[in-house]
Amino acid sequence: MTKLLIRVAGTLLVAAGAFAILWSPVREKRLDDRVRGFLLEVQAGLQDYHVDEELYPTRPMRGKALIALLVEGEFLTAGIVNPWSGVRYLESADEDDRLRYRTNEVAETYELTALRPRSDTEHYRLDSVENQSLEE
Amino acid sequence: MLAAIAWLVRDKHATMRVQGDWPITVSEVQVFLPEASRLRADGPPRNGLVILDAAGKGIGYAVRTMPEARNVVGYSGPTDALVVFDGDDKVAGVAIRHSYDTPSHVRDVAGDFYFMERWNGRTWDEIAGFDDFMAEGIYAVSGASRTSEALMEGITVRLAGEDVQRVSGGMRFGWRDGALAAFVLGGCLFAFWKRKSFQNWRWVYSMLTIAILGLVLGDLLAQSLLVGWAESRIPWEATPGVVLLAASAFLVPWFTRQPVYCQFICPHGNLQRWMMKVIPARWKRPLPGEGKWILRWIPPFFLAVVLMVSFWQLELDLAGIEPFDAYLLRSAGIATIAVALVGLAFSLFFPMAYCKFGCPTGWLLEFVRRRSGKGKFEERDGIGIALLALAIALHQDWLSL
Repeated sequence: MTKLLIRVAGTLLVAAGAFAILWSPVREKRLDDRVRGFLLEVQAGLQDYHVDEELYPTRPMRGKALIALLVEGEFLTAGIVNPWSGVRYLESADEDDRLRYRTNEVAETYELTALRPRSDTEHYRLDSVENQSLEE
Repeated sequence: MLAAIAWLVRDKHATMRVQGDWPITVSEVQVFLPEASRLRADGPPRNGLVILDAAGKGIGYAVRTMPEARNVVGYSGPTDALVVFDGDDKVAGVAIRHSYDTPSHVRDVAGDFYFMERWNGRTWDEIAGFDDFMAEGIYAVSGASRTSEALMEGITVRLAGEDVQRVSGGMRFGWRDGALAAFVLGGCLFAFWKRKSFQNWRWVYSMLTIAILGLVLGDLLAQSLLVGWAESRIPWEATPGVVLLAASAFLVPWFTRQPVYCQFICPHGNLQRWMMKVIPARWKRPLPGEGKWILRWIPPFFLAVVLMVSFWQLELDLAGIEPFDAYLLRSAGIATIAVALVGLAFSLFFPMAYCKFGCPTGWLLEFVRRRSGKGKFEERDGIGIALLALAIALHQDWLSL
């Protein structure tokens, strides 16, 4: 019985070690997928806003302000989830607000930038001029 | 079983490559031509992008080497490069966009500014006509030679606009390939020709594998290499020596039951054999039976990790889970060096510890080795079936992130 227990515990330990190697890359990949999905959702809301208002939002904004604007106009649902924190975007902490929005001087273009956690480097960028797709 | 797993990996990656779409963006081009404002698609014969400034005037041209160069494989996969030409049709810059090759090698190539800038100032037609890079003053990057050679050939293939086979001119058998063939031959001779006067020289062969095959050539079989081949293709015409080494490692044990690569050729195995002699035998400790039983699971779990990294396209350099890249002294990453040193330290007290309990590549080679007791279902068969089931589940997206 002791022998069996040692074997099971040891094998589980080996499995845990192997999967620990995967932990960080899997987490990163899942975050990538969530951020991409989130950006596409916000972009769709932004496009709907543009169809309605004939302009994009006119001033640069952080993610929370942009999402509040789009939710208010019913271009996005209030339940949209923050990919960095996993809670509703409008309820998430400021440090998890890693989305930035910009437009040009006549509000005819948009630029959505997702910043990497723990740094302000660009993770993904989606805009109406150069990076119209997140496809790789 | 292994062939089926390799086919699943290949099929998945072929699908991803066809469906994948990675267009060149203005920001990539602006690194070389800051005044670039827009890109306009251009048709045959060049099939690239005209670079326009803010006024809409053509100021250059940009191409990516993929998908045309997808069959130009470096150490373990093809590389997508961006080539930007200025208004005089001369190269303004070359950049690596994405690579299926070993990440540490790709980083070395991308960081070698001397290599990356050797293309600058040359015209499209000049590069398309290259058939001897050394004569043109473009040399492979030390420690990442196969990756840089693939980049060189990929650019030429793309600009020549021709089929890979025609440009590469079929198989190229260089001195490296000759040396690898000699090591294979040597390993087979020591495995099968048991004459004592010949076997007395085995220590010389063992030293040569460590010094030449390991430290000079750096062509050790590893998961990063095998997975790269499965994901793209086997580059038999570009690196026939490595293909011969891999083929002999799998086929000789299959037909003859002799693990020639593991027992005779592998530099890390040979280094461990020398390590066994460093300390007195009385200091060595046998592993308890339960410890052996548990540690034998390490390689299969590593293989499961390898499958997940490949199918899920995770950002994990597989070179880091094995010690073999540590022999590329100039480009080895910390992880591979750590695995090598820890494995060697263990082998001081537990003979051949890494080979027995840590090596996923060795496990695969042992898996294909024919044994006596035909027809008997063994533990390794069960592990093989489990790995195949995992590959099927990953291929079918039953296990997804």
